[in-house]
Amino acid sequence: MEKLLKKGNAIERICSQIKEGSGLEIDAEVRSIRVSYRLEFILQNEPIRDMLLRTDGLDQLRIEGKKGILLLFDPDANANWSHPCWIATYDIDGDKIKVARHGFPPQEERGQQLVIFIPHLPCSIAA
Amino acid sequence: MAVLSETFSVRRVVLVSGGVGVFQNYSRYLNDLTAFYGCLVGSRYGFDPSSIQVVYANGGNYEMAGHSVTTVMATQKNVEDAIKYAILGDPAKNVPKLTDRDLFIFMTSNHGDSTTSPHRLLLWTPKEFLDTDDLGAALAVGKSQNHYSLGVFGHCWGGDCFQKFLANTPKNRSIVVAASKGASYALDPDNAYDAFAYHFTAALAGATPSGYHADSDANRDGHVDVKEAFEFAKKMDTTKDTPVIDGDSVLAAKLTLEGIL
Repeated sequence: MEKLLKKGNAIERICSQIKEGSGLEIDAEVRSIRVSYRLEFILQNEPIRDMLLRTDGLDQLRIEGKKGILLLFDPDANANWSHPCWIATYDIDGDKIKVARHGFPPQEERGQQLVIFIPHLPCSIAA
Repeated sequence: MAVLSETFSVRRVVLVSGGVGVFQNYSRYLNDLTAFYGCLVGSRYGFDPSSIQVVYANGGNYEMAGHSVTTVMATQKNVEDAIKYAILGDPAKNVPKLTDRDLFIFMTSNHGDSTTSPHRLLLWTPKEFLDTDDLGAALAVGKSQNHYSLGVFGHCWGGDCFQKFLANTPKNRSIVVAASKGASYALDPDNAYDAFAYHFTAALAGATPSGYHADSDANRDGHVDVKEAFEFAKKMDTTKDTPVIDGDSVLAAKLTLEGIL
């Protein structure tokens, strides 16, 4: 998965969307982001739920291709929930990125838990 | 040492942490409750362990400060029942209701939900929560009893619980503190506790959970009142927490866990 994310330049593209969508000062805020991804691929049209099993605002993240990667960009990884974060999907087949601002992380289950990819997003990527 | 003007006769406590599920129930929440439990039953305050109800995750037995504690599952009903039992007692078991010489403490840790109105304290499983209306209704059973109340809200957005807590506990006899008006944060560097809960508990105990002195008795009267504990925690908490306190400000400087200064 990490190779696929790197090959598709996915982290940088998601950062660009976060920056454009939120108007954040990238150096000041986004560099503290922790990036995690779900261990299991998401599948075509799989609904994305948060830890409270809500889908509000997350329907737009469904992928059209056969499989993709679900990611969490958490700017406050030491905070309890709820706090603003970004949930993103990378559609591998379609090479598409989708990002949604949300208050809770994605739902986790055994075999589908989130694992840390980048503990602190470096400015070189974020910018 | 200053002499207390009155010493509490009965002190009852409800400690709550839900955690939602196995992946969000961070170990620090159990540590927060354990540290607070240890502060209460330790030699300084000597709470009766049977007066402390712990509502934690999916329940079970845990070792807390040398005591084997049976917790109950963190459901809305169990939290409400625990609050009502603490306040009203149970005549059938010869447990009296709280009086004007008694203290009730309600303490929380874990996640809160800022995306709903009213605000929710999240419990065990995504479907279980205690919103502030539920909290107010549970507390209201003892509104006419005139006992003292202390609310310690360590969960995210805990400040949102203040209004209902103060409105539904005996007037001018309640103090509330919260880690934050927004998200609450873990203690650096290892996230073993929530930051505010850790420092507030250490302040009350006069020592950290591992035994280091906490210099929280600012006026050196030999007692740590709630205001001193809050100010100590606020000063020591270097996270993005925004600690808040409300209720009778005169009482805050007189209320200790032993009695009233």
